[in-house]
Amino acid sequence: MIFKKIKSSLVTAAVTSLLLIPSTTVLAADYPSAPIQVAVAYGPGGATDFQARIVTMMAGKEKYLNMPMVIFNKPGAGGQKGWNWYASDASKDGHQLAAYNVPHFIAQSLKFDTSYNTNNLEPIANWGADPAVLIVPADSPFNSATDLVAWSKANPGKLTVSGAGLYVGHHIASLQLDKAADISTSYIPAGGGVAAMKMVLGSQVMAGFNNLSDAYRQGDRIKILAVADNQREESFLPDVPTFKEQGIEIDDSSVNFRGIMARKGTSPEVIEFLAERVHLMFQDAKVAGKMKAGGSPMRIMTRAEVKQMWVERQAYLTELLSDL
Amino acid sequence: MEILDYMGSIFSVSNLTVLILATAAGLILGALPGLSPTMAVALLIPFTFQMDAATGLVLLGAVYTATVAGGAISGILVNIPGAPANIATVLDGHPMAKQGKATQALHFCFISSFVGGIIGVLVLIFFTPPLAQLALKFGPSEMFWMAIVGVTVIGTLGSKSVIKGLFSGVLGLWISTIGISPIFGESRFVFSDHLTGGVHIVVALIGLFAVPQIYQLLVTSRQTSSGGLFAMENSPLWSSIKYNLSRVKALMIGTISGVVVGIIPGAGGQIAGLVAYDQVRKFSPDASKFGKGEPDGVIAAESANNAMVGPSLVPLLTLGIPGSPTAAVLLGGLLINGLFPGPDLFTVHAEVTWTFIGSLLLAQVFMLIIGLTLSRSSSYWVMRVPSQYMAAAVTILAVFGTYSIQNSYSDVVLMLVLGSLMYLLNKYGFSAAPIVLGIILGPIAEDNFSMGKMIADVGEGAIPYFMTGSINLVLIFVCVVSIGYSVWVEVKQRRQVAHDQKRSAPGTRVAAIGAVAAAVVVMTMVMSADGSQAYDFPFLLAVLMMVFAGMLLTDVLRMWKREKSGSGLVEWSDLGAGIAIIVGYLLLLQTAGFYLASWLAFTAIVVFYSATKNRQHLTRILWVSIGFMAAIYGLFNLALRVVTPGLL
Repeated sequence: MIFKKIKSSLVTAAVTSLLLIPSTTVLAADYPSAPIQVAVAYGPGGATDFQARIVTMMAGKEKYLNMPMVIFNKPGAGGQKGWNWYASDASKDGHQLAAYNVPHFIAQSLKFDTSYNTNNLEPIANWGADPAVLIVPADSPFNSATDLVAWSKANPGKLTVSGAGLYVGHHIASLQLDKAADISTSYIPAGGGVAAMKMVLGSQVMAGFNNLSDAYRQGDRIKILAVADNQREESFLPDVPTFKEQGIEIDDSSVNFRGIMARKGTSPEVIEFLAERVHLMFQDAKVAGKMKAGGSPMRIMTRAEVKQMWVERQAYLTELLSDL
Repeated sequence: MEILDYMGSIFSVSNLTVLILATAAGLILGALPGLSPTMAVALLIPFTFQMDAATGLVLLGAVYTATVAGGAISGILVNIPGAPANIATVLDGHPMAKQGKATQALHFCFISSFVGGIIGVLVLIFFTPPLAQLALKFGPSEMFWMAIVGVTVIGTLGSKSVIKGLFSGVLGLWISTIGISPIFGESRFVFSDHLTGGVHIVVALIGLFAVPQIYQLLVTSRQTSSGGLFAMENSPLWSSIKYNLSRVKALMIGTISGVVVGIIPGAGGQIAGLVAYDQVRKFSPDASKFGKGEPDGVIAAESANNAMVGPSLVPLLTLGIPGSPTAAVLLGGLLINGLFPGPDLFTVHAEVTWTFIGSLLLAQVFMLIIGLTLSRSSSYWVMRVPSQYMAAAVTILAVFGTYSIQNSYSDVVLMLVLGSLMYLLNKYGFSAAPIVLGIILGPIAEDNFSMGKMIADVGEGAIPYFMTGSINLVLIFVCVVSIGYSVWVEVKQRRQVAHDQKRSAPGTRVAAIGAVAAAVVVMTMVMSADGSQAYDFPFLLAVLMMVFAGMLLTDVLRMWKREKSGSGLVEWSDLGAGIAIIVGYLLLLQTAGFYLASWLAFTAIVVFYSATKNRQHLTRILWVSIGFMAAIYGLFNLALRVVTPGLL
C-alpha cells in the first residue's frame, strides 16, 4: 500500500517538475536563486584560477550576493574553448558568469574566428591588474632593457622571449617591444605562465615576459628588467623601472586585467545588481588580505570603468595587430 | 633532521583529525570516476581559507596522497581507473579481481603505495636542492624526448599484439590533436560541434574504460543467472604483506620510476605508473604473465604513482614550478597563506613547511591503515552487487563524473560515443590503455616539439638542438632500447604463432580492414586541410597509422582464408535494450534534467536486465534506485555544488 502511494507521489513529482521547467525565467527580484557559477577559461592552479577563487570566496554573505560563487574550469586552446562556450552556450539568467582576461580575450577575438567579442559580453567588475614584466635568467649578461635591446639590434631575430601563449598580455608586450625599440625578437608561446617561467629559470630562452606577481615571487632566481606599465608597481616591485623610464615607449596596453563578466542579453536589473554587489565584494578586507598574502596586485574597477577600458583596448589592439 | 623539531605540531590532535578525515574522504573521492586528484584538491582550496596555514596544507596534502591511491580501488574492482594515474594498476589488478583475488590486489595496492609514498617523501626531505636543479634542465627538447619514451611504451601496453598496441597509441595521439591548437591557434578535425573544445583527458578516460565495462556487465547479467561480478578467495593480510615485501625488484622499479617522473615538471604522475609497469614487465623473466593478473604489475604501478607525490613537490617548493597538475593546484594553497616557494619556506616558514612534509609521511600511514581495512569489505561488497545494478550505477556515475569536470553536456556525449566505439575496438583486440596514453602524451610531444623547433630555428638548428645534450642522449638511448625490445618480442611472438596455429583469430580481418579505413580517413582529412604548420604533427601521425594498418593487413592477407570461424563477436541481441536506454538517457538529460533522467535510466537498466520481474523485486528496484539517486544528489549537488541543467 505504502509503496503504491510513494510510487504515485513520485510520478506526480516528476510530472509537476516537467511542467515547471518553462516557468523558470528568473526575475531580478529573486536573483540569485541558486549558487552562481563562474567559468574560468584556464586550468586549475593558474594565476587567474587562483585569484578567482579568492575574490569570490565571500559571495555567500548577505551584503554581497547571498549565494556562493562556484568556480569551474573550462581550459583549452589558450582560453578560447571556455570563452567560446561562454559566449554561445552559457545561461543568460545571471547564474553563469565568467572571468575575463584583457587583453587576451579581445586580441583573440580580433585574430581568430571566435564566438566572443567585446560586443556580446557585459563587464561586471574588475578585481586585478597584473602588468607584464621583462625577465631574464639570474646569470644573464643583460642588466637592463636597454642592454637587451642593444644585443637584439646586433643579432636580429636571435633573441628568444617566452610568454604564456598566443595573444596574451605577454605576447602583446613583446609585440610592443619589437615595435617601440625597432627590433625583431622570437616569441615562444609556452603552454601557460608557469611553463614560460620555467623556460627562463632553466635558461632555455634568453628572456621572457611574465606576470609581475609570478616574477616577484621568484626573488633573486631571475632578474626583472622592466615593467610594461605607465608607472612603477609601488607595493611589490618599487625598484624596477618601467620601459618608458628606459627610453622605450611601451604603455599599459599589455597589463593583464582580470574581472568578471556576464553574457549580453542578461537582464539589466541583474547586471546592475551584480555590478554593485560584486564591486563591493572585491573590496572585502578578507579578500584584500588573501590577495596581498599571495602577492597578487589588486585593481578594483567599476562596471563603467571596465567598459571604458575595453573600448580603449579594442581600439589599440586593432591597430597593433593589423600590422601582423 | 630539522623535521624532528616539529614533531609536536605534526602529531597535534587537530592535525591528526584532519589527516584521518582527509585520507578517508580522499580514498572515496579518488575511487569515483571524474574526480581526479587535481579536481579533488581544487575543490578543497576554498575550505582551507578558514583554516590556519599548516592545517590547510595538511588537508590538501593528505587528499592528494589518498586520491592517488583511491583511484586504484575502482580500477581493481570494476576495471575503471579513478584517475589517469591508475591506468597501469588496472592492467593486472582487475584480472586479479576476476580470479577471486580482489582483496589481495587491494592489499598489494595499498602496501606498495605506502612503500613508494614513504620513499618519495624521504626523497623530498633529503634531496630537494640538487633535484630542483635537475628539474630545471628539462627544456622543450628534453620534454619532447620524454614524451617519445612514453610513446615507445605504448606498444607493449596491455595489447595482445604490439602492432595493434602501436596503432591504438597513434590513434590516441591523433585524438589529442582534435580541437584548437594552442601553439598555432588553428582549429583542427572539428567535424562535430561537440569536438570544438577537443577531448579532455579525463572524459576520454571515463569513456574508454567505463562504457565498455557497462556493456560487458549488461552482457554478463543476461548470460549468467547468479549475477555477481566475481567469486572471492580468502586472503589473509599477513600473507599479502609478506609476499608484497618480498617483491623487492618490482617495488624498486616502481619507486625509482615514480621518483624520476615526479621530478620532471609537466610530465606528471599520469605516466609514472605506466612507465613503471612497462619497466617491470621488460625486466621480468616471463613477460607473458602480465595482463593476466600478475601481482608485480600492480605492485610496480602503485608504488610508482605514490612515489611520484613527494618528488612532484620538489620543483614546486623550491622554484614554484609544479611537477604535476595536482601540484599546480597545491601551489595555490601555498600562496594563499603567503608561503612563497623558495628558500624562505625552509627558514622563515619552517614550522608550516615541515609540519606539511611530516604530515605527508603520516598521511601514507593512515592511507595504509584505512585502505587495508577497507580492502576486504569493499571487495566483498562490490562482489555481491548484481551486474545489472553495477552497470546502472556505473552509467550514472560516469555521466555525473564527466559532466562535473567542466559542466559540459558535449563531454557527456563524447564520453558515451568514444566509450561505445571502444567496446567494439576491445572486441577486435585493441585496448584502451595505449589510446589514453596517446591522448596524455600527444600535447606534451607536439607542443614541446613546436616550441623547441622555434627556439632551434633562430639558434643552432633543429638537429643539434634536439640531438645533443646529456639528458637528450640518455632519453634517445632509452627510446632505442625500448623500441628494440618491442620488435624482438613481436618477432618471437610471431614465430610462435606461426608454429602453433597457422590460423588467425576471429575478427582479425575486420580489425585490419577497420584500421586501414581509419588511417585513410585521417590521412584524407590531413591532406584536405590547407597544409599549414599546424598539420605537421597530424601528418606524421597519419603516416604512422598507415604503416601500422598496412602491417596488420599484410598479416591478415597471408591467412585470409584461414580465419577461425567464430560466432559474432559482439552480443548485439543482449546489448540492444541497453544501447536504447543509454541513447534515450542522453536525449532526456537536457530536457528532463539530470536527476530525473538518471533515475529513469537506472531503473530501466535494472528492470530490463533482471531475470525475475515479480512485484517484490520491482519494489526493491524502486527503493535501490531512489537511494542511489539520493546519494548522487548529496555528493554532486550538495557537497560538490555541481549545477546541472533542468530542474531535476
